[in-house]
Formats: sequence, C-alpha cells, structure tokens
Amino acid sequence: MKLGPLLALALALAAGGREAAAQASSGTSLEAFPVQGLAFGPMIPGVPESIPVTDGARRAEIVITGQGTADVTLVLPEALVSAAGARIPLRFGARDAAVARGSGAAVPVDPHQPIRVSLDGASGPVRILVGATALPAPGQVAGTYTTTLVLVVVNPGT
Amino acid sequence: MKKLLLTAIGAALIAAPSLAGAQTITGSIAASATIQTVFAFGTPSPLNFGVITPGTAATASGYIPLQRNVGVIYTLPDAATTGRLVGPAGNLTPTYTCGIGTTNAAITSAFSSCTPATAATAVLTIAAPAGLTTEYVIFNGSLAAGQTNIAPGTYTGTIRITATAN
Repeated sequence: MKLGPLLALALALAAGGREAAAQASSGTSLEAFPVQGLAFGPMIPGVPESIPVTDGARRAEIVITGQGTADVTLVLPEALVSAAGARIPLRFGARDAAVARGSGAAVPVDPHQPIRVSLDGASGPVRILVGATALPAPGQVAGTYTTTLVLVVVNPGT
Repeated sequence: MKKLLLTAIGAALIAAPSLAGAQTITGSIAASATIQTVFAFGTPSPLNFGVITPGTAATASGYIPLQRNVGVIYTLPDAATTGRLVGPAGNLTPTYTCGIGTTNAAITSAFSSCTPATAATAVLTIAAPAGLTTEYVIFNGSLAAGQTNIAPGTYTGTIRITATAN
C-alpha cells in the first residue's frame, strides 16, 4: 500500500515527462527558412564587390523559428564557382553576419563563430543576416557564378 | 527494493524528454554573382599616309584596341570598299593587310580578307579567352607609286570594323 503513491508519482512524472517531450518536439521544432540568397549581381573583372550585412537587398537572410536556445553555425563557402569551374574567392569578415529578432535592430556577429540565439514565439523569429566580399580576378571570365552557404542549427534540447 | 526500483523507473522516464528535445536542422542559402561581359573598342590610331609626293609609294598603319572577355566575330561592313579613300580625283584604293595582334605593332591572326565580298562575311572568329584580354585590330595600307600620281588634294576614308560578341 505504501508503494502505491510512489508508483503513482513515478507514472505522473513519466506522463509529465512524455507530455514535456511532446511539447518540446512541437514547440521547439526548429525550422529555417531561406528568405533571400547572397546576390552580388553584375560584377566587373578585377573589382572586388562587398555586400555589407546592412544591405537589405543583396545580403543573405535566413529566418529561424522554434523554441529554446539554438546554436547556429554557418558553413561558409570559399568561392563562387561557374559551370566551367572558374572560381571567384569569397571573404567573410568578422562583422559580416548579424542577428536580428523580428523587425528589430541587427546585432553584428562573427560568421566564423557559432551564434547562440534564443528562440521564442512571443519575440518573433530570429533572422540571420550574412554579407560577404567577392574578389574577382582581373582576368575573370564572364558568366554566372554560384555557391551555397550552409546553415546548421542545433537545439541541444531541454 | 521495490521502492528503489520504481524510483529508478520514474527517473529514467523523466530523463528521456531531455534527449528527445535535442534537434539539429540544416539549411542552405544560395549565393550568386555574374561577371559582366567586357566588350569594348578603345581609342583608334588612324592610318595616315602623310604628304605623298605624286608618283611615289606610301604606307601607313593604324589600329583600334578591343578589350573583351568573350569570343568575337569580326566583320567589315563596308565589304569590298573597306578602306577606300575619296578625294579630288575620285577613289583611291590602298592595298591592305589586316588582322589582330596582341600588340599594336604586328598582326598575329590575319583576317581572311580586308575587302570581303559581303558585309556579313566573318573575316575572323576567335573563341573566348581565358580571361580579360586586349587585342588590336590592325590595318596596314600601301599605296603603289602609280596610284599616287593623281590630282593633288586630301583623300580620306574610314575603315569600319564590326566586332560581335560570340
């Protein structure tokens, strides 16, 4: 008989635990939405082109939603590459990324370092903003160059 | 013992949600750029035969630079009358050698004709270079002695060259 309450407590905690887990799964479900890519547009051979993180039209922007704390790591490409394999080196400076919440002000961060963000629905989604500098050579061949910037978001859980 | 066992079960069930909450997602964002086509003639250096003593031969050279990072097709829109000079005695038609050079001093790839049959005739087609390059379209003109024994005056003309990006 004395075991009854203890068992009940254990089951209650277990049930609570499962409920918490279910909430974590749905509430902290991370999602990342690419809003726009890093768009250098037309460039002239030999003339470096920078996209400041404040350039709303050309910077990359990713929106992250979820709950809790998340660590965002940017896997930065070394170059833009043409279909023929020609390369335009890319440079990411220490202030070429920023974090903004909703429509709030952006806080500069180093894109080479993991970025810790706090996610909650009340404050709106977190926006990761990324700028860069492209360094075309004087003899850069005409054409379209592309690459992909990868974003890894880790929520360590509760 | 049973209490301990049940407590252990409860703790295990409580701990499970923390592991289940961990989550990793990976996204990607495109980056792009377009290197513009560079395709432009520079400042020409005209052919000037100078002051010619009637009955003597004369030569002249001229060029126009073209900077490009794409292939090119050259045509001569004036076709058979390319480089013809017009003056007091009428037409004066020098003989030309023409083509492109890596410098303005020498032709390294000759046009198939300096006076092609038609304006649409491609006199030289060159593939895209490895990078931005400057080449020179060169025309070397010659007037034979017999051609210059004509009415005095100034004889002028224009050599028109069309470069089409390819």
